[in-house]
Amino acid sequence: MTAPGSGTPVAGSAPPLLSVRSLSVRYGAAQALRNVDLDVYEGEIVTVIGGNGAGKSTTLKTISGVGEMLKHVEGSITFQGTEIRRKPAYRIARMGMAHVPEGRRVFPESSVEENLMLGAYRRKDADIGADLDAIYVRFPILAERRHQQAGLMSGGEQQMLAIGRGLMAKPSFLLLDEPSLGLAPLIVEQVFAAIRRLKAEGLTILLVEQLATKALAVADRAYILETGSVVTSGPASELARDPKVRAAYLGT
Amino acid sequence: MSDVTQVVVYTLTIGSIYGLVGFGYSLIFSTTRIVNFAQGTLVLVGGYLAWDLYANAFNGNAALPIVLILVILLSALIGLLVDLIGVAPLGRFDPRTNISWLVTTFGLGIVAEELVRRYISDSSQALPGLVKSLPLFGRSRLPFGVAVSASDVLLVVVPIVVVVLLEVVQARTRLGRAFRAVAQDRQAASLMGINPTAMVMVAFALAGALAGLAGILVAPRLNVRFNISVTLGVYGFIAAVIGGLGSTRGAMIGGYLIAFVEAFTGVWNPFSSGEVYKPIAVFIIFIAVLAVRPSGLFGKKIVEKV
Amino acid sequence: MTVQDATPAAPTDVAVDARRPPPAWATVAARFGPGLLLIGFLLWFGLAQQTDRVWISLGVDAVATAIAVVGVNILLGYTGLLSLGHYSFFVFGGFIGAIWAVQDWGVNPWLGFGIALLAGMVLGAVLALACCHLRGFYLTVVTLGFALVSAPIAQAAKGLFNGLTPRQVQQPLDMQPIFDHLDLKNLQIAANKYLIGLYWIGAALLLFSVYMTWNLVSSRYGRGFKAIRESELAAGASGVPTYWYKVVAFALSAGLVSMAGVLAAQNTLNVGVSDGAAMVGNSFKYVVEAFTGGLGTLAGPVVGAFTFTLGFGIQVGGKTITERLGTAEALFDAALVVAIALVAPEGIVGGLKALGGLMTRAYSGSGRPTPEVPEAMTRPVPRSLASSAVATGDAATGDPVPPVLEVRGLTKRFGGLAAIDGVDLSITRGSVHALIGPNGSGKSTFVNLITGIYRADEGRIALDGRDIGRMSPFRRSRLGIARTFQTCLIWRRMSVLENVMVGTHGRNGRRWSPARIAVGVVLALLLGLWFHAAGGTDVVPAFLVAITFAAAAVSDLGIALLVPRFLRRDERAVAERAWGLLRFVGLESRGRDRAGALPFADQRRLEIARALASDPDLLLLDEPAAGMHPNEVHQLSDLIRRIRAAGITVLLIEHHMDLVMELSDTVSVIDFGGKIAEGTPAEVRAEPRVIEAYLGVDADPGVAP
Repeated sequence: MTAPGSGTPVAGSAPPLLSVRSLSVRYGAAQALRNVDLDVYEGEIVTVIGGNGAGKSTTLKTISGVGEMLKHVEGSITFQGTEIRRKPAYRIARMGMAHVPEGRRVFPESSVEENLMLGAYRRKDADIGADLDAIYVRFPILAERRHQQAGLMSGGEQQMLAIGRGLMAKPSFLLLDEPSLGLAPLIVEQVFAAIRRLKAEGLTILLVEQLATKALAVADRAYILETGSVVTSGPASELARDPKVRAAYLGT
Repeated sequence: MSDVTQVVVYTLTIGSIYGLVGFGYSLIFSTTRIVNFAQGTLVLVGGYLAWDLYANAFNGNAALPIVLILVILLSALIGLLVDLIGVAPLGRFDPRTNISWLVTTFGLGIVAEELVRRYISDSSQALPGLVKSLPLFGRSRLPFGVAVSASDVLLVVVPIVVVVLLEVVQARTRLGRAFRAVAQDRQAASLMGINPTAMVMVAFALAGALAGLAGILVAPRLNVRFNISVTLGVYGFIAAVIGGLGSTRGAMIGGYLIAFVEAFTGVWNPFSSGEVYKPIAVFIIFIAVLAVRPSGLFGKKIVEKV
Repeated sequence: MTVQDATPAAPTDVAVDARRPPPAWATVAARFGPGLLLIGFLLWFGLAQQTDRVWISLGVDAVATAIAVVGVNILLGYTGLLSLGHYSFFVFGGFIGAIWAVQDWGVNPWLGFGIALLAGMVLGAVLALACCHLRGFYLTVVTLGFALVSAPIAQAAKGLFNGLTPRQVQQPLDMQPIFDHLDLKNLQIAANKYLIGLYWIGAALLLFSVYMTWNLVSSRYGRGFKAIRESELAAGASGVPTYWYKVVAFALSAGLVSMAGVLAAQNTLNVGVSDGAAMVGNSFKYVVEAFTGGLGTLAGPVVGAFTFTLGFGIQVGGKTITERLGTAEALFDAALVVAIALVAPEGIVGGLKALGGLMTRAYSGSGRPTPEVPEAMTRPVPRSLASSAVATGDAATGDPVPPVLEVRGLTKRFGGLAAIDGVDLSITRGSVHALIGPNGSGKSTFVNLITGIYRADEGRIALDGRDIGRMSPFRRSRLGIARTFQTCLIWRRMSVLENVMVGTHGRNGRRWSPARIAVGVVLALLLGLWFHAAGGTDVVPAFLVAITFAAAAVSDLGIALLVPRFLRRDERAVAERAWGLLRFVGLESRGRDRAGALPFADQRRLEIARALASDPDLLLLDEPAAGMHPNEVHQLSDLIRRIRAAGITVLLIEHHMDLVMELSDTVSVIDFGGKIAEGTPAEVRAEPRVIEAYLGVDADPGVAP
């Protein structure tokens, strides 16, 4: 079985963890998404690339349910076999989907630690403390700044905090929107290394990224969006070699 | 009573009431970043509901504590209505640039007040104290010959208990954490699995309940009357602002400070009638506090990351 | 890396404006229609209702309220500041303009309006000075307190206010001279002549208030107000003196409300302070009326005020709405307002505008084609910077060129942590100087220290050798430092053009020319003589009032209020310059759109255009390429080259290494708040410490990072 118009799925014949079918989104008169089909299988990294305004963030926001209230949505989104299109964001979050939004959206007046604890808001298990320590090991700068107000940190630190906060939910599915935005090259490397490690640990990830080269290098499969429609999809390594894709999205 | 004890008693009792009203503002501000301008009216509504239930519905036969519980429940419901009618329908908005909330909350306050005027009573009413005597002190006698009524003691003690409870809820519980998250970024909070709409409803209901409690506690001392929605409402607000909006203990201390300034001006004042100068003195202190600390005594400095 | 002369190339994706401009009649109708409608209505009402005593009195009430609401709208609608104490100014105006000035100081009652306007402005300014440092509704609470203390003040100063009992207006306006020339055959008109006269005066004052607001909103003051409303931080960084502008907005609105108070006092012939609840309630009523009509619109306040005064006087089945509502009026008003807030949060006028579509374009000159901009205007620097451009060339030969910015030992601590720790930096004039470093190394703090958002704990910042370390952001902007923000703080509800026009704020202040002073002196003399001779006021008070009026009229603010935009050359120059800058960054086809409607990359370019508008010596770009698509980064790179070619020094903070390496003359690297390396891009790239702390071992800066 293959996902429509895409390369080989990673998880063989298992149904996709997330399945988006003919998703269309309108903001007032503007059509943000048009008949988008997209699948994410358990354990893989799927990336969505495309220019500004192509609809990448809208796709993620519509999936996690935080899209603007006035928009008009059609199509279906199934997560773990359940239709979630009409569910509010907090219910989707409770199903195990963590969305690290564009622009970080940390809680600026709360401390770093409180931000991380808010990530674990829905959890009641005893491992929260251990997971917190694990985040601090993964991102040492957060441990240093643990009692600092998150709003006073630099953009890159906030980005790490946002990712850490998402991981604190112990999600089964992670949506990452532009995780490299505003990060120093070295940190970008670290973030992508972290993404690889998360994949190795079995986490499923849907990644939206401006740095297409890096995104394609880390992803299993990729979708390319242009003005709200999927124009190409397939295994990431193939797309990375495609001269047309290279010219249009990799800036080479 | 000597001047000093008079000032102390006034500060503690009236200050507590200002603080109690201030908590309501603080609570709603700390979840929504808006100021519920109906809060002062809700105190008045609580007082009139209590009087109506006590004097008319039960003909004075019910024990006041039962009335108290009913009023708190009803006030919570009214607080919730303010949210459901006036705030929730506005949807997602930036309270700094969109002031619809101000118009709706203030407008609903007037609506509530007019409804009370039409359907409950349009004149000042007296309500007996919740308790006649306190077992601890016997009848109305405290050490040093200070004469205090039992309801005055309640007036001092209950707000302190409330402030401690609220502080614990805000600092230690998941509810408090969720409140803070919703206040800072509703969308991000919902990504954490928090239901922002429900949190705001809880805050409004709690604030309504607090207003009802304040209405009953203050009735024996000030009577139930219409101008308390402005005096208590605005002074409670000023208490919350002096203390730093969002800080519960700040509201309490702000309340004491205002009441102290009032009492002080009333007693030691070179002019003939101290009453007139009380609000002026409060206004001056208020401006002075904000000049030194623009976010109030316990308010967090607003950080704007650029 | 040597600096190549960059040929200015037009950005590749300049959008072609496909929209047809609306027809000329529609533009004219949209522009002047509302004003003509107002004049027409005022004329009709005055003529049709002059025989009806109730209605004509209601008319005076309506125009007085409308003037007050126009004032409230300046503060709330345009500047975004909410006052719940403006009714106090209304009462104050009544006292000073109709009672104190006339009965106690012996001034002609006709001067009461002007005196109340100026005195209200002064009182408003005094209150504003005490509270305009406050943000958001902290200011609102102070105004609330102001309303509440009015009653006790009135009781304390019984001689002036008569406590809470109204004082009578004993010397009302003398309408006889007006009606002398009219043959009053109609007895009803003769009986109402005082109110009729008052109505026409009020109507004229209302038109005057609207006219002043109309001029104001398209002046530098009005644009500054709107910028403060949208983002005070960005306003300060663009050279708007935010604190003073807030004081000015507050004063203006208080002045207009005071003037309205005189009219009301002359209508009811008494003035009195009421208790705190009523003072706050009436103040809130102004807010409600402004809100109902449409905040931040010219017509909104008038529509709102008329709806609540005249609208409720309309008869339904033999009784007026007011009569029918009886004691339920307060309830009805409140419920109505809540409903409007929920259904039409933009107010009546805002809703109509949205429907009309024609008027939705934010800029008043909507629909006009883009003006032809002379080619010279498209250069971002009108001041001659030729010498510094030469200096750039000399930098290579090693001649000592004084740096444009010199920073020594700069330190900033947050809590115990030093975010910037003894940094030295000097930026050569005409160069592109990049500042790179890991996240959290202190780059943004550095920018905020240079631009004055933060104050340094230690160290010296010198711009052209002048110490600017203690100056506020707007002063630094005026001296030549401009910036963009990482978070892209444009003023979303203003037009693209207006955004850039505000940017010019810093360096086009008006000067006190001899001609202006002469006009003021002549005006003072003429007014003084007129007040004395025709008004019968004593010489000293007449000339004191005349001099005050004249000075106010020829002040910067007076000119902004009194002279329409199309007569002002400085305004035209500002607009032309803004168009030129929009062309420079490739946005001229979007000039009349709302800034918030621009796509992301265009918003960044707009921010750069706004920064260039202040005619800076030094432009700080804080991560301009963040979130940009590779093609957009290329365009940005091209733009930065052209900015440098125009002689402007650029401090670039960026993580896109290809951009940094390609553009920079010098790169400084900071880590943990201290400088760890500095040199040419090639030197820095080879520096082991930089690789370790920032670039990463396997990073290839040639490819996108």
